[in-house]
Amino acid sequence: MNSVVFVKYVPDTETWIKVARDGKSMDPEGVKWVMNPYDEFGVEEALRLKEQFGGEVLVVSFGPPKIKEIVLQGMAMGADRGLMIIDDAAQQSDPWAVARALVAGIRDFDFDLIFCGQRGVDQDQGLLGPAVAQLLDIPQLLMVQKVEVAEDQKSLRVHRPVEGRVLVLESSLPAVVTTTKGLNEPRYATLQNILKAKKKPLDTASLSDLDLDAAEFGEEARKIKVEEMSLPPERPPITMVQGETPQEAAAELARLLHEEARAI
Amino acid sequence: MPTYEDIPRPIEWITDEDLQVAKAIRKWVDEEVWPNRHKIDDDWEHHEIVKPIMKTLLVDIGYQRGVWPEDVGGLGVDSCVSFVVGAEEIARGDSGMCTAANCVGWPFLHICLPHHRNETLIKKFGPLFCDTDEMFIGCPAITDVSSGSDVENVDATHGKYITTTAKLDGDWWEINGHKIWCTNSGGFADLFGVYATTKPGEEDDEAVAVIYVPADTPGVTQGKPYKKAGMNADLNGDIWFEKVRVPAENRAQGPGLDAEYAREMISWGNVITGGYALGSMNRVYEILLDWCEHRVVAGKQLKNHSIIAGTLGEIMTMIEAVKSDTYCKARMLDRPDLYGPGHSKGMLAKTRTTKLFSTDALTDICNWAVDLMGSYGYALEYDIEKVWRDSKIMSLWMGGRSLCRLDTTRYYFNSTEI
Ligand SMILES: Cc1cc2nc3c(=O)[nH]c(=O)nc-3n(C[C@H](O)[C@H](O)[C@H](O)COP(=O)(O)OP(=O)(O)OC[C@H]3O[C@@H](n4cnc5c(N)ncnc54)[C@H](O)[C@@H]3O)c2cc1C
Repeated sequence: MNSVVFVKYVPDTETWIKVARDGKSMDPEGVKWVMNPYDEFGVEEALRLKEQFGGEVLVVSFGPPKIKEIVLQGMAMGADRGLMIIDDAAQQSDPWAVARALVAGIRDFDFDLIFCGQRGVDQDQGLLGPAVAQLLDIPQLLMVQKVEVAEDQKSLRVHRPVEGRVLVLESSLPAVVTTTKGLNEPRYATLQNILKAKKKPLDTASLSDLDLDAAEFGEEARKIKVEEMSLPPERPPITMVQGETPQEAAAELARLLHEEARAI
Repeated sequence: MPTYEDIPRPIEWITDEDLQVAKAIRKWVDEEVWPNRHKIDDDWEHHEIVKPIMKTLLVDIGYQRGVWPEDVGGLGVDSCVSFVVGAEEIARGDSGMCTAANCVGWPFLHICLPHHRNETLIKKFGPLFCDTDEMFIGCPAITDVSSGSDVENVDATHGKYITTTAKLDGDWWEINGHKIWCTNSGGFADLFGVYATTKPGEEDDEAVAVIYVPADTPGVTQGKPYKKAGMNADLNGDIWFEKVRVPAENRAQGPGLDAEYAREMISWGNVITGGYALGSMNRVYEILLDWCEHRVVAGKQLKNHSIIAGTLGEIMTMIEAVKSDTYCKARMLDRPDLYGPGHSKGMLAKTRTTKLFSTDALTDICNWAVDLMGSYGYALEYDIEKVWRDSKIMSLWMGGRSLCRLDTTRYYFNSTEI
């Protein structure tokens, strides 16, 4: 059971985001970068399948040199190998271009499953998984909370939450699974795996190494252009609900929610 | 907005692996340690909450394998910089837990550092820490009931005032004594590194002996944990050794060498204490960042009052200076080829200054931070009081501020009578 996990470098959700001078990108100054949390679920799930069935886990990322940190993180959690597709043209590439780079990166790896996060917590587009599935012409199972691979390793069954219900889907393999919260609890990287990761294969490739044309990547090549980026409006000040008794306070809260916030 | 990770440190000395370890520990701190901070304090006696949290660090993440060489299943970490990186992260969560975790391996530097490995003892004890799914806890049993500083004041007292004795009887040591305060005592420890004298009352480095004693050896008794002002994630109590017999091979190195490497152990302890102080400072910075952003007095944010801004500037200067110094000394211990051996009197003095400076700076920074928070700083809910309470001991242990200054002056001024 060989799995690939695509991992993305994203700003920590606790980082204070500022808009850059161009008015349409994020100012990278002072931003703390982490592995996209949804991708961590993917690493964990791939490791669990490896523990169950054997096989290998490959972690792949596309971006600037600092992606090394998250690829190593995947290997420190237990993945067997890593691939970093490092290219200046990664900057501002749209999900379609990113998918092309990643798919090219795994062309020699015999995989059964590809995991990626259901979305990146940076731009929330949710396009990578479908784009990868489209490029490879294999099934896509999106926003998955449970993965069960059949004993014969030829098919899988997944759970996908939909409006308070669960959709159970079956698919042949290979397939793309995008992960969401609730799938698992990602493990700690152990010190032993961290030190072992040093001895595991970690490859680096540029776009041209993968026979791709850098001109088809980056800002210029985007199919979706960002016109403008702005921060959400400041939150209105907090209202402290007053009341002599809890009942009074609750009534006042209900009134405010109904009449002012129009939430109920 | 910057985070504590933006406070400068020499990243060219910090490996990719160190950064991954830091990340794993940070996750553990953010998910398991910090959310339980108040419960940890209440749990000082029984460690019902502390133990499972410790286990994640020591066993699941694997910290207890740290110093042990790879051939016995350990991680072979022999870089002081790596330990400082780890200590910074653990102490950001809880400096008591950091103390407890680091003392698990500290007594075994005597036998595990690459230039003086004791293969027999590594094979004997290493698997107990490495080949297990349970915690196995080391304890540096140095402080005698009579005095702690006297034992650690190796270059002035040469073992004269060590009151725990070790007598060779054939192929066995017989150990008698009463230790107190040692981290991970109070019933938690499985294996003690006991500092004893083979010639009671004599001033002789050859008499200083470091002997490993399993906690379940007949004659070893651990008392109940003390109730302390802080650092409640560390258990400290009495340990009595009454006619305790362990094999002669359990001595770390031998006459003369044990005293020499005791100096080295203190040098490492000084610098890693700097790491604990840094972790606590990182937390203080985070608390202040939040507080000074949101607290409004006289119509503006606290951070925008010039008198407060001045104090914040000084705090950051102190933190930066401690980081620079601590990492510099850690690097010096990692490169004995350039800076001389860790057991030299020079390195002892140079790392003593790190301990004195870092822990004094921490005491000052905590004090300022409490000032900046007014009465909220004194309340449990606002967290700074925990860092404040936990911190002071760092300047007290390992012989306190006096010994730091004595060792420093002894070297720099060749003061032979102190
Ligand atoms: C949380 C905690 C963890 C600890 N962990 C450990 C541990 O892991 N292992 C361990 O063995 N101990 C441990 N200790 C004990 C600690 O290291 C000792 O308490 C410390 O070294 C000081 O010894 P003492 O308390 O006996 O004070 P004393 O030695 O009595 O010192 C009292 C004062 O005299 C000063 N002084 C001492 N000698 C001289 C001198 N020659 N000239 C001038 N001034 C001097 C000291 O600096 C101090 O100010 C721990 C204590 C605590 C509270």
